[in-house]
Amino acid sequence: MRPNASPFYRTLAFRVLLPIVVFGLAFGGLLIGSVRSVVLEFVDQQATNDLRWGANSIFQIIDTNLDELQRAGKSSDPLALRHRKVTALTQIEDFARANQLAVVVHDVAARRSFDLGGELANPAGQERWFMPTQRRYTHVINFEPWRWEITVVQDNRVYVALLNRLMIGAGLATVFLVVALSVCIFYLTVRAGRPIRKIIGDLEKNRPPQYKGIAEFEYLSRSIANMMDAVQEQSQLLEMTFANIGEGLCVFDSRMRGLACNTKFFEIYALPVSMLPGDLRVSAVLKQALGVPRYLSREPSSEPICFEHARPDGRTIEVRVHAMGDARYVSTHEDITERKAAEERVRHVATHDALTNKPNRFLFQDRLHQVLKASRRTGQKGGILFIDLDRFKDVNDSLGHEVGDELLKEVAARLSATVRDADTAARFGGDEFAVLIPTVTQPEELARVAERLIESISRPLPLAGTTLQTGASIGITLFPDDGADAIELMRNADIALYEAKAAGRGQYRFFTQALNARVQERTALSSDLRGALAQNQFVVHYQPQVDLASGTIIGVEALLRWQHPQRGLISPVLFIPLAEQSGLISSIGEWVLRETCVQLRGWLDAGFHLRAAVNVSAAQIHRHDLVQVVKHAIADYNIPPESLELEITESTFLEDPTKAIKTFERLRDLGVHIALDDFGTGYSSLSYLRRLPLTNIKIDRSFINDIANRAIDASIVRNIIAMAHGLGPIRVTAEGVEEKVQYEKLLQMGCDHGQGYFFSRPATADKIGGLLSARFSVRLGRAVS
Amino acid sequence: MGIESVSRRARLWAVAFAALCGLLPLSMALAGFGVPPIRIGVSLGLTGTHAEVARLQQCAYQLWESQVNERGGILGHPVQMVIRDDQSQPQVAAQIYQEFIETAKLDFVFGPYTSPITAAVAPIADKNGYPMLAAGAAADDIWKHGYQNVFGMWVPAGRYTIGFLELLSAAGIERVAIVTVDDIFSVSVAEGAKRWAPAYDLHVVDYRVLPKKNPDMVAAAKAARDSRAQALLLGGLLDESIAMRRALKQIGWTPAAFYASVGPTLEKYRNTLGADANGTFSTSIWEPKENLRLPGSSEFLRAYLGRYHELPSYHAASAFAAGQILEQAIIKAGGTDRSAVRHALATMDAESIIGRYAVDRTGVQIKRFPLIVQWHDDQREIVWPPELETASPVIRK
Repeated sequence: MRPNASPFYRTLAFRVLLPIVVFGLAFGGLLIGSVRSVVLEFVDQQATNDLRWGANSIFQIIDTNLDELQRAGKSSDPLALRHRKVTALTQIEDFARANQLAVVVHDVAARRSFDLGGELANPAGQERWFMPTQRRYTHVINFEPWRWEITVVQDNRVYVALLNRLMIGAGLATVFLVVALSVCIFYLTVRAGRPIRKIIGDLEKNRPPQYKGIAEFEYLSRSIANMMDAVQEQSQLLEMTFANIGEGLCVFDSRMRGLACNTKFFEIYALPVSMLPGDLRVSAVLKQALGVPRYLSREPSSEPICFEHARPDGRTIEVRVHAMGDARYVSTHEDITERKAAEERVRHVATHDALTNKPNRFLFQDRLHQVLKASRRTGQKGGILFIDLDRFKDVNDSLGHEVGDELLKEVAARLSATVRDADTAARFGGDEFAVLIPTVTQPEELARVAERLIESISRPLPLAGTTLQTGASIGITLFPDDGADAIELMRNADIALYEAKAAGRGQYRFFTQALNARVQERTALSSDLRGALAQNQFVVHYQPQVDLASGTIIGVEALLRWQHPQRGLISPVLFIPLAEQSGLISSIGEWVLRETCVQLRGWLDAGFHLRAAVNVSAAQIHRHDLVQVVKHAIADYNIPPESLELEITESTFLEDPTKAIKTFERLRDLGVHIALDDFGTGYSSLSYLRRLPLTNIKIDRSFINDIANRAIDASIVRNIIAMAHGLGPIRVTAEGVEEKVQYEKLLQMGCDHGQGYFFSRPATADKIGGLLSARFSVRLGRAVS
Repeated sequence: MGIESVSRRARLWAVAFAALCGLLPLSMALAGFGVPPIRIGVSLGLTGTHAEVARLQQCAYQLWESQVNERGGILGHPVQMVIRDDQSQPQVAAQIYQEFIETAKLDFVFGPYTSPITAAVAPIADKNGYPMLAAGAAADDIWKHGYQNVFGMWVPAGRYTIGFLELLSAAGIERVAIVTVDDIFSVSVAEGAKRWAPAYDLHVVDYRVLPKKNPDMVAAAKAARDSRAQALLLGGLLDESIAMRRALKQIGWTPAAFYASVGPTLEKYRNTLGADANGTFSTSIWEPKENLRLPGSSEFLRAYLGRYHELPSYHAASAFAAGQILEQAIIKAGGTDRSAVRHALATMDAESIIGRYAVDRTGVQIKRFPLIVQWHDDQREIVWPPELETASPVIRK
């Protein structure tokens, strides 16, 4: 038995059969009634006809005998008359018996009656089928001498029997008709239903439906099969979708009663999977998730209503509800706990520095915007502190990035520990940090914060087996006084920081309008610098380099000067950083090189054998074409390579030493001399000294200043000279020789060359040419002013 | 003649005997013995009260059997009559017919003699679908049961006396007495007479039913005489008719006309009573008279006389006629199917040595008419109807 078999009274067959039977019974009843009436009339008419026919036949018998009597001429013969009468009576009797009639012949004249024919059964019986048990027909034959009153009595038994047979036959025929009709229709119904039931059964068993049926229902069966197939496929698809969709689904009505739920729904709310959608617990979950659904519209909506529902177990469920328009709703339920965590992580990553886990520039700016908004509303003051670590680059370069990173993390921790919770300590990248102080009452509070920060950062830090000590420079800007918006404030803080850094390590500076003016000036210079080369505003001055032993000029150092049309001569200290920042340094450097080569060519042609030194910036070193530029320059102006010296500083090769060394080696191969400028101020790594193809070391002027008075400086200089000479044919040039005693000291120490005001200030080429022509010598006791 | 010659002769006889034995089956086959016979049963009171009539009918049946078989049987089937003695007892007859039908499974049966015995076997035949020609019964009551298989051959007993009553009327007789013994045939005759008498202006002055056993005919005769009846009608059979005739003689009353059923139609009536038989009226179905001009009647008469050396009664003729009618019915039905034969008997209009045969829907014979016979000078003469009379009726007024 099929689990979902319908009771018989709900089957199509029964629904068809019952009306048929009811109709059949009613129809049969009416038919029998009608048939009874017709049959009764028919039988009655038949009986009447038979009776009349019988009577007429009897009269005919009598007539025949009368005729015979008269034909024989014996109608008055009593004997013949009696004979004829008896003959007639016997004939009537025979006829009556044969035709089941009873005949009473009453001889009126003789006053005698003769009962002829069969005996009448049950003459006083009840009517049957509304038929009388007898019917009589009486007629008087009145022919003299014959006067008979004849009563023909018909026994209706035979007609009642006939009526019985007809009625039974009609009843049976009607019953048979109804039954046959019912059976036929029932059969057809069953036959019609069979393929449909089979199709449904097949579909329920997930089998391809077979629709074989009788021809009349073939098309119907096929159509139903196809339709059911499509419906089932669609249904299965929907079912599978419903079951396999990654979200919980629940269809419910306006009373929050669940109508259909998928497995995922039960899993999300930790309900038994076997629970029916209509369970009260489903309603409870829905009410808990959606609250009182006053806002649920009955109209179908294209946009869902979304909720985030926090579960007691800490999970977050996102619920979306669509109204289907018939007071029913479909809701999707998604556990977004992990997604929210991921979003939070992304948001955190986007707003925080990965290394220190401190807010980054983006978050800092965002918070600054918020604070500024509040400030504009409340008039509350606050401040921004930009912090830059001192010598962090050195730590990074010398101890590695890992150590640098640890240092940064420690600095960040110290920043956080120093400021208030309401403050924001952020890292912008590299060694740049910033602190946002949302509320201060006096600017001095910011100064105290800056001091605490510098002090905190400056505390020694044991790291990587050593103790690091760094410092910090801090630029401070105050809002709303120093700027209207975040960008301006941050720029001003940067300016202040720059100023602090310029002031030396471990300093902090407030942004001032004076600071701002300087920045504005730098900006203007930077703008003018771009046109300076084209407008031929640069000039090259030369400072002689003197052989200390002979006192003669053996070379010059080319020094760039900017002859600004409005500002006059501008110091390289001012514009070289600008050139470096703007990328113009390469073009300017090449121009200086070629200008120097032109000048050197002139001096060589004039018979002065000099070596011209040109400063090379790091930007030039890292250009691939420096060698080519030099090569072309010396070729273009026919400059002996050994007459050209390129001065480099440590900073030019620290960024990429390998590449720089390779470039210098190629320049040396050209025959060009390489001088290391400002030696002693940086790391002065001996390793580099070993690797670099140097021909000259220029001792920084800071060692020369007190060489006569400080023994240590003298010792350093002496050792440098000894080291240089020990490394090979490397000349030593002392920079910043301004006094005779220095000159003498250096000479005594064995220093090869000197450069400084003591010998000559930087001067134009013409002036230098004059000195050369005058055969300048230190021994003349005068210097070129 | 030696031993050797005797042996040779013996061998020749043996060979001849063997040859005869070999030819016997062939000759039997040629004679139709290989075809199953139509077996027809009938019981007759060969002993007992009705032995005389029964004997006559037995002879007639056997005559018909031999004649029909001589003609090659019916539809190629030989006919075999199976005649049993019912000792003139209805219950014996009923048992015999039961055996005919259920045990012997005969093909057909004829009706026995006398109406009471026929009435006893009729339901058996009817119930079993055996069409039965009642060759020895005339009682009206037999055909009042709605039998479908019982067919009358004689005019109903109720009509037996009509001709006689007409003769009485013509003779100016006014009063009649009617006596009958109590059996269905005799009562039918008496009741018929009583019923039809008024039609002839005859007054039944005495009507008396006597017991079948030991009826007091003398007393009845006296009562009739005392009723001033001019004529006496007796319903009864052979013995009763003889007894009444003797009673009349004994009391010395000679009515104007004396009628007795059955008995006076038999030669034995005359043989028993001698001259006293003369004057007695009776009803006959058939008479051994040439003037009847019925087909085959004379041939039957001659054959019967030739074979049995006595005149047949209408009972014998009826038995022979029954064979004729059944033969025609089988031929008409095309076989021995009893249903078809029954249908043929119910619908056919046939000729026999006793006249036309046809029955109405109740099985009552409707084509026969009775003959009134009267003993004249030791001869039985037909006195009614006038068209067939061989002598005028004698009624002493």
